Amino acid sequence: MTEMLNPFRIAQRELDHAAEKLGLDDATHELLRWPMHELKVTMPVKMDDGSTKIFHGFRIQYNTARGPAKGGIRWHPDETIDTVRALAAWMTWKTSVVDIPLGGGKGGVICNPKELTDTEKERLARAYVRAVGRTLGVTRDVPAPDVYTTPQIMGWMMDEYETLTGEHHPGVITGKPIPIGGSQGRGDATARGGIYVVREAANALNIDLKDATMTIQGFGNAGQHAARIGRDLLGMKLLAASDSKGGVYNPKGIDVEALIEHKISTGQVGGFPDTDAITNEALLELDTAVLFPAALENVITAKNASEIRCTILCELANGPTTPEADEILYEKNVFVLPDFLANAGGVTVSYLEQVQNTYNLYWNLEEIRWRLKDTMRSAFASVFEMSRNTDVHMRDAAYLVAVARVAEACKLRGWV
Amino acid sequence: MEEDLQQLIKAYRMYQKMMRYPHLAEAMRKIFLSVLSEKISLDEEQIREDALKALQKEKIEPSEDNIHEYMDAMVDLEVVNHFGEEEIDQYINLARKEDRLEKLIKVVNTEGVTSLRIKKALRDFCEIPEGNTFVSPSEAEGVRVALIHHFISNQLPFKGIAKNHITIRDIDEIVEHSYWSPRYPGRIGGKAAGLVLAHRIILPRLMERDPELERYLAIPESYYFNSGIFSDFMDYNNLQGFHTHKYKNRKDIEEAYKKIPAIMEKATFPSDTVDTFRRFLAEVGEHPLILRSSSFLEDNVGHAFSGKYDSVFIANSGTPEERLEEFIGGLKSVLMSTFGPAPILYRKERNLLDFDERMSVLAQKVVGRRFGDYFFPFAAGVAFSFNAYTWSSRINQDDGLIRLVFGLGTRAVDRVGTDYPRMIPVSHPLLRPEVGVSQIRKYSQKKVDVFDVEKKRLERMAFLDLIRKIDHPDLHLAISVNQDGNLAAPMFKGQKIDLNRSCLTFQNFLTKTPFLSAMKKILEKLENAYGRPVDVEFAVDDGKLFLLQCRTLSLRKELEPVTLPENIPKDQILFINSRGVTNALVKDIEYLVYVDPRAYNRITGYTEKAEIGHVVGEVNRFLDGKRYALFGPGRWGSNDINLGVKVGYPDINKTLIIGEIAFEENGSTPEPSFGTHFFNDLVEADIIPIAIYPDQQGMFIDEKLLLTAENRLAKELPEHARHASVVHLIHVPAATNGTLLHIYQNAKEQKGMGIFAPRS
Repeated sequence: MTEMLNPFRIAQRELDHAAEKLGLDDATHELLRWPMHELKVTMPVKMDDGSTKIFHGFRIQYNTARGPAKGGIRWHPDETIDTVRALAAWMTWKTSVVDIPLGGGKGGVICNPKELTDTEKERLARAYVRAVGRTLGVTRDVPAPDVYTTPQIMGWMMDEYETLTGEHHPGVITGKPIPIGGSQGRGDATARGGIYVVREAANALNIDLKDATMTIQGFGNAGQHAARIGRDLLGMKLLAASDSKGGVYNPKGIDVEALIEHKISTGQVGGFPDTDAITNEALLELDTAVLFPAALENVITAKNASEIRCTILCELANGPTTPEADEILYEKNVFVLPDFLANAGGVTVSYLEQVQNTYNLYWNLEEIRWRLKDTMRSAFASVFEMSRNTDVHMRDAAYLVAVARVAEACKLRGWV
Repeated sequence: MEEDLQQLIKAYRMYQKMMRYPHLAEAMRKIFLSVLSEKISLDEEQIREDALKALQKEKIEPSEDNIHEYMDAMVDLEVVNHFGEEEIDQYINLARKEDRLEKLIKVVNTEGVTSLRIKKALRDFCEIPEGNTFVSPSEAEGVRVALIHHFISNQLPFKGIAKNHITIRDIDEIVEHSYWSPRYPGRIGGKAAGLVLAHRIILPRLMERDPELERYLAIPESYYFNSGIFSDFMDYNNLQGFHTHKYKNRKDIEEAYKKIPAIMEKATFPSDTVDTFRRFLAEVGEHPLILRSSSFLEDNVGHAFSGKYDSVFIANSGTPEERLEEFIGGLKSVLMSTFGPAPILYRKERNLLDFDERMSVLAQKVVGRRFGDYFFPFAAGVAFSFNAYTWSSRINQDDGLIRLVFGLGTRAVDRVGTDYPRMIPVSHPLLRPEVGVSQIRKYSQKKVDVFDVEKKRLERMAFLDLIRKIDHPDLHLAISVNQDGNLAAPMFKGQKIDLNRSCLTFQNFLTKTPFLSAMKKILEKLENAYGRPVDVEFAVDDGKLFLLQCRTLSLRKELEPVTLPENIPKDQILFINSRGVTNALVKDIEYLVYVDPRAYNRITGYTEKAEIGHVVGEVNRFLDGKRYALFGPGRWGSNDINLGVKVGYPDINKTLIIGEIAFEENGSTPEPSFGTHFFNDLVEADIIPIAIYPDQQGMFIDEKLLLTAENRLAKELPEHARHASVVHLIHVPAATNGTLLHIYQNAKEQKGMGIFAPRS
């Protein structure tokens, strides 16, 4: 992997940029450039055929100044420690920008889940918890599902942790199935958080979103929820939506429920009645109030950024905009709600799951939603204020808010 | 005293039974003698001595007649004394069977004998209870072969296998379910023969039986309309000329075929044949039928003919005359397909044109149940005893592969474009290339084929629409439900299910029913009996597995063995690959598109890397209609641009081959694994994936040739000229003195190669 594309180097560069803008002192800057705690583990796992396979994994607690580490566990054949480090850093900024009392962490196991049976996955999940269990706990580090890990895997991991400790600790891990301590509202949390910040942005920018158009690239889980919630909460109409096979477009608006139904039954949005076909590229360039890139990384690049004609760009996917494109969008006055703010609804509801587990008291959907709304609203306010005060675009502003909060916590603890 | 009376009554009854067949008394006593000798060591000499002594005692002259009379009586008495009534019946019946068998042998070996005479002799033999005493194996084998030849198939390889499994009584059952013309002999054809044989291999009458299979496997109700009916039909309507159409050229065959429907429409069956159809329809009742082609050549060992001839669904409902009309229409459609261009060209390619192909029809009750207007089985599909879809090295190819769908199996047999049957490697049934809820939902079956009984035609319905309309009692076996990212099968039947969040995974069906273990045994038994890989079509309904068809060659061409060329000079080899090889033979490739992995890796900017994917898409469109192969770094279609060129399916859909090249760099080899995110797309589109690890032993790619051959990118697509250092567009004949690229892939040997040779 070249240095340019090493994710951890990218994460460090982003921090360097924020540190410079904030005028962080050298020690704090250096502290925040590195994970505080790294654990590399080797796990023997018995396979179904009786053989033993050795797996390697990581758990990184990047920074815990603001609270216990929080971050998912990835199972991927190409997992590297640098990817996990970078993602742990991003989790630190994400929990900070939405101001929940957690730090950032990430874990990973080098494995190919496509080549593991369910029973092997269970043994691997339990082996991982036995290997890193001493550093986990509701007061230390709370994992969650991530790439190729599922609520079921979280359930096995929680069970193994409880077996080790001999006590109930449902809050040791989030994203569990609801019957064993999972939270209501997790299914649409990311999209809902995104819509809440869109609403805040519209208020701040004085835009009336009622009957305004929204365009969704990536009509998967998050995209579908965004369309539904955008319609219900903001009164927006769906102008266009796409998936990997192409998109559909109707300037008069598309029936969201019918499109979801069509997508579920046919596997694609293409061919939906009363719409015109549109390519993914052309869809991004539509004149629309809100554009939600909700699927892939790096879809808005230096090449097409100047053609983007939305008013608000809400990044439900991770990293849909390249850094070069960011500058162009800022020049064009496209208001970007950066990924780690716009899609922080997921981690916020994870936090709420952890709180409910600790209380041993479970909230209904309404309660989850108003807490999520409050969190997203104040997160937006902080970032927007920072953007206006320091005259930087929203992504930089989000970094500044997040890094400043972590730096402050380090300072108050007397670490620096 | 009482005991004596009982023995007397027993002897009396035995004698009564024997005297029903006086001409067989001698044969019966012969059998008695042999069992007395075998079971109580009482031989003929001893009995003769005893008879002589008795005659002497009674002072009767020991003439031969008297001795025989005494001996017969003594044999009878010994039998009564030593054996039970049931056993005695078996011996009497054995004599009868041997007698009838002798007659049957005579009949089946008489030149020009009519089917009716054989049928009668066969019935005479089979009406004797089977019991557990058997006629001579060699004589029985001779009769079996002769009967198979007469009624089932005249193909030698088939007869060679079938005689070991199909019994005389099986043929009697077939004949009982057969319909034929009084004027013409005929056979039941390859497909019907394959099915009968498969059932007997799996559920043998004589060899070791398997209780699990006997419980779970059911035989679909089948009827055979033999080829004589159709020969009669052709002659009756003066259509004999159709049989010579096959010698015309392709265009003329196609032209002639267009005229056939109108001719067939007018043609009629002789009135006695129509009466036969009426009788048949009255017997089966109103139940949807599938009329399957079963020609002589079809499904025989060596030539699959899959999908070449038609199979027709009929609703078989309404008034008797409506049903008759629909049935006759269906038969004509199947018969018509004998003269279609596809089977004739298929035969031409395989040197089978001169064979006098004749059509029979296998009529089966469609497996399934009716829900509202829709009739379909719970599940159906195709199973292969050899698995060419090995996307993981953990999968054992020899354990086979199952393609499973909800509803009618037409969805599994046909390539279905954007829909996905459940692909099950039998060695690791729950392993699947998709991980995560959205992937699994994306690659799950979305549409279901059903038979609409009211509209009398096949319908393709969205799965969710269908199950909302009906209440299927086995739905819990087929689906999994996504509850906030947790995709799980229902815990129990009757559990409340949110259909909007469900998709077809067959999780419970695969883990909680005998299906997998039964199918594994079935594939193993069939492959062992045939001595080569087989594929079977099946349906599952109401807790039973129905075998619908069995053949030795697959409809998936990658199962047909490909022989790799030998002794090819190195300068004529483009590549050699030896991992994850699937069977394929792709010839006459004119263009090569090569994305140089090293040059690609040197690109540092994201935008620039993404641009390469765009160029590949443009080249793909440019080469539409040309035969081309695409090679490039790592994983095609990956979301991570560092792992491979970022392309979507439309960017590569015109290529015949998609090659993934992984050079070792910095001591590690990326695992291309066919970019399994869209491997299903490739499988469905017939694009052959090839993985090449040039730095590993035994693998190779001629990088020098690819980099030094004339690159036509700038010339053909000048707007992309600046990418010519990464994307190479090579015209193969120009680069290799007029040859083309030919690709051979052999899954069994896990070896493949691409070579340059003249046009095939």
